[in-house]
Amino acid sequence: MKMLDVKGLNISFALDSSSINICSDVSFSLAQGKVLGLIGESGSGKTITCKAILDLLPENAEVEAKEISFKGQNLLGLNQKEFDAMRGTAMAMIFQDPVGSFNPVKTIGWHFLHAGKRRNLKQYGRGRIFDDAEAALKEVEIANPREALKKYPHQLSGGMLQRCLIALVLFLKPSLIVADEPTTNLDNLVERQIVDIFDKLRNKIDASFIFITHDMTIAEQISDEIAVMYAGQIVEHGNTADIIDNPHHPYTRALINTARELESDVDVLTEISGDITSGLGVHDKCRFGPRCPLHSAECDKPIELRNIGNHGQVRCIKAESFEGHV
Amino acid sequence: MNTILEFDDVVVHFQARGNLLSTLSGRKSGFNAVDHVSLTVDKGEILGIAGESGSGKTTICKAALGLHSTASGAITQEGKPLSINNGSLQMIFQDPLSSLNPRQTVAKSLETPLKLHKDDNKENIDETIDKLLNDVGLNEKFRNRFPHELSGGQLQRVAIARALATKPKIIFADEAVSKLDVSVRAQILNLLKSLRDKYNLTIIFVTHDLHVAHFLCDRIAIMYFGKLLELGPTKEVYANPCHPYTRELLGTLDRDNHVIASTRDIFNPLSDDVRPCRYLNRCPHVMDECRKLHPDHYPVGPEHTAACYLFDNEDD
Ligand SMILES: Nc1ncnc2c1ncn2[C@@H]1O[C@H](COP(=O)(O)OP(=O)(O)OP(=O)(O)O)[C@@H](O)[C@H]1O
Ligand SMILES: Nc1ncnc2c1ncn2[C@@H]1O[C@H](COP(=O)(O)OP(=O)(O)OP(=O)(O)O)[C@@H](O)[C@H]1O
Ligand code: SF4
Ligand SMILES: [Mg+2]
Ligand SMILES: [Mg+2]
Repeated sequence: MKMLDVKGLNISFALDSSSINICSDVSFSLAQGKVLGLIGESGSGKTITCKAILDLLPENAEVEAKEISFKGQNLLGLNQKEFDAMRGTAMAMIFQDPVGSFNPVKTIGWHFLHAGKRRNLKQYGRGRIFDDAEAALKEVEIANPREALKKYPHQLSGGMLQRCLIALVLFLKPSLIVADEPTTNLDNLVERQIVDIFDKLRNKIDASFIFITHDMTIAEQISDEIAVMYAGQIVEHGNTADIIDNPHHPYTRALINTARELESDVDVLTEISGDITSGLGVHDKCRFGPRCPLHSAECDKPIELRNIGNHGQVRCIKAESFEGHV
Repeated sequence: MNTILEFDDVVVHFQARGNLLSTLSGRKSGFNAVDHVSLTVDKGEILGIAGESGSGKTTICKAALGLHSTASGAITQEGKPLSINNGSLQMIFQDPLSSLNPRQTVAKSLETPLKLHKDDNKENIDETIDKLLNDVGLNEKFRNRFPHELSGGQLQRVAIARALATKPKIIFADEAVSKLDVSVRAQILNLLKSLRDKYNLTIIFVTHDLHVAHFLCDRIAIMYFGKLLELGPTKEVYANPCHPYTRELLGTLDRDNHVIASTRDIFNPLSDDVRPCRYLNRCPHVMDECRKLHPDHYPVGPEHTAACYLFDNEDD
């Protein structure tokens, strides 16, 4: 079954007098129990895209889409109240910024009680909710869950807070989970644990995930499919192995090469040169053009995301030139 | 070599939220987030700190900046107490928002430290701001943005630019590149390396990314529950990890190695005895002395030490 269907999503922000277009023509769908890895350029619109799906964008954002549906239900038609009822229970987001996700003057335990209300667990009473909370905290390898519940956010380390946030969302048991860089503050051992938990969970409750990450190894481990974003557009989308082992878009290739370099023994890492400003909001030519080693005059026209054989979709007119390359 | 920073038997103690009853009942009301850590950093060195989440990495950096007080021990810069007010010491915080004023634009938040530490005129300051933004992969278009109008990685880069603005001698970088795509990360890492090479900048680089540590850091310190467990040249530690925890941690770099950290009985500083080895509950090699006292550091290679009795060869 389709969990999520996004078609033709455009997002702009009103700034002072002007408006800047951020995401343009973002389309993808996600089946039940599947994990979509969302990777790509910092500032390319990964967080914004997901926030738009959950209706979490600020007032100055203008969102347009042909379709955003969740389990077949059109989300674009929902009013504020209907959305509020769904958020946290049917779908939830683990935010990139764990500190900002907590109320600084409330304990971790309070946050679980609060979340319990959302899950309509009031009839359980405090004791049962705390039992559930402790179990969720144990799952994310918090050593002393009982003590953690009594702590205020600033008394926990970055990684512990991030794990509390993950536990809170697991506690809510939604069927669509957007996890925005949920493992960046974690050591490798805990990181593996978390990836395992997500894996278990999607089998157990058949949840679907959008997993935003800058870590290629994690993306490879956890995702069924990977979508790569650059300057507000999806530039490549396909099965995980196809993307990681044989990327067809010049940006994806550069990204994966640098990741490999970092794992090897080099003195200087390869950067992508060229002008970073030129991407966002450009409609009449390839957004990666100014930085692309393959750029030529033909690239200066609107570039569509298109199917490439059995590789998936690529937004580059020269994608075929990488066919068969490794 | 030329020591710039010295941590001498440093302890940072945190009070848990204890009440009178728990104190009277003999329950411990606090714990050492940094527990007798000694370590020196050379001028122009990049020292990595890695280790378990919650092991005290951020705390030790904040203690150096005077943001946490030390319960005992001393932290000195070239033999003197650290001078935090002249901009020669900067920290890039793990949470970039915490160092940026939400009501200040990017340009404003870079201008403030620049003005404090330079007597340049306005034009120069504007130029410097643009240069700083360029260095971290942003540009003048970001000048008038507010923090909430930036992506996670853009924020992190503004925080980096802000720390670089005062041309510090020592930078504490706490997970400073964790939110950046690999390509921007490469740019920042190259930049930090070149600043070190050019200006002999000293960097204490806290990271969970073991590949990044390998690329950037001359030496690496491995921490676990407030203790420094292993210290040595990065290449040497990676080639020859000694402490069982370091072996476990670095073992994750081997993709085919699927030993998962078991659901384990981790040390609880509030209820467990703090005298034995911190790693006791997880260690596969426990010996009698491990139960008595947390070990000192023993030499295990060139400039390489580990706090583990497996390497105590004294009575051989
Ligand atoms: N409120 C806002 N007003 C104007 N621009 C914004 C606002 N919020 C975000 N942006 C811009 O939108 C773009 C996309 O932001 P988004 O947070 O989605 O990036 P991202 O892909 O998640 O990046 P990162 O990996 O760095 O977190 C960025 O260039 C950012 O500067
Ligand atoms: N202000 C505080 N009050 C009480 N306890 C604190 C405070 N700040 C940190 N701690 C505790 O001290 C310990 C060390 O925290 P610290 O933030 O230094 O860890 P860390 O190694 O940086 O972890 P991470 O990798 O997760 O960021 C943790 O157990 C944390 O909960
Ligand atoms: S369309 Fe042209 S400029 Fe754009 S990525 Fe492909 S080759 Fe490069
Ligand atoms: Mg983001
Ligand atoms: Mg920390």
